[in-house]
Amino acid sequence: MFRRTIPDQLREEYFDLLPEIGRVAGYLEAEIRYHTREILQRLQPYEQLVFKSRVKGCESALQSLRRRQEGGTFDAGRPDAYSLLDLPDLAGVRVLVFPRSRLTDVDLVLREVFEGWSYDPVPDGAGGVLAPKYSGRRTQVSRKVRAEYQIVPMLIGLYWEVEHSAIYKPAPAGKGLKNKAASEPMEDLNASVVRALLNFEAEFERRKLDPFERTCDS
Amino acid sequence: MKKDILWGADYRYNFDRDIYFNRKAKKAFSLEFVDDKSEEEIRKRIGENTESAGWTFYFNSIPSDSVRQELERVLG
Repeated sequence: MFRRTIPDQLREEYFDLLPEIGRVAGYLEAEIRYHTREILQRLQPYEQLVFKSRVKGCESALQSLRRRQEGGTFDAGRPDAYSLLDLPDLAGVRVLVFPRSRLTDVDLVLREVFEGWSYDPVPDGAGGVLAPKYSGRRTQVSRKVRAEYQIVPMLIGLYWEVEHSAIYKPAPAGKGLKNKAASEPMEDLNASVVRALLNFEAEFERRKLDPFERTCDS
Repeated sequence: MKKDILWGADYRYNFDRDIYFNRKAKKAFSLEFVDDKSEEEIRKRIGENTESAGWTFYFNSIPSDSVRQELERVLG
């Protein structure tokens, strides 16, 4: 008898869920925009707050679920053991913030609104937090689909957009590159870029806050 | 570091499957196993003799036959 593969089964689940995932992403973005509006209104001309919502793509969701299994492999003997609803980030919002000092303001406000969401920050590789990340449900819109929001320093976030789409997005043609990305030289280069961007922001903020520097600049 | 122990023993990392593998030794370690076990245990497993002609998988949960077959196909 013909039996569908686990990926095909999950693709069907994905398209059944898609309208609901879209609603969660839209709702989450609206809610985040609403609760950060006062910060947005107080921004200096050089400061920025940008909101980007996204629905996880079908193949990306499948790969993500597969890679959560030990050995990155679905067990064909247990087709009922898998559901895309196990993913914490089918819908997501990324808040890009510049400069980095604004990140704490946004984080504090949203943490209160999304009380009870799981905290799973992106580490900075030096024992600190690069970007706070939270996941949970908005039951007003969906009891099933979990969503994620993250607050990211803008320069890092824009770098990730290029880096992720070039290297990490699942595409057969990019597979070789993907493996190379896990290699030490690429890891080191990646860490250097992140460090350079963070240093740039730190120096920028130091100059902005230093009255002497401000006088000299103007 | 555990990663250095594995690299030193000619294990490579499969990014797609999150496993360290050595084709010559026909052994593969899952990331979960490496995370959970001590350096001493990893060294012991790397050095242990395996009689089987096929691959030996060091996983936290014993992989099913279908998972083993799939990974053997991927690892070559």
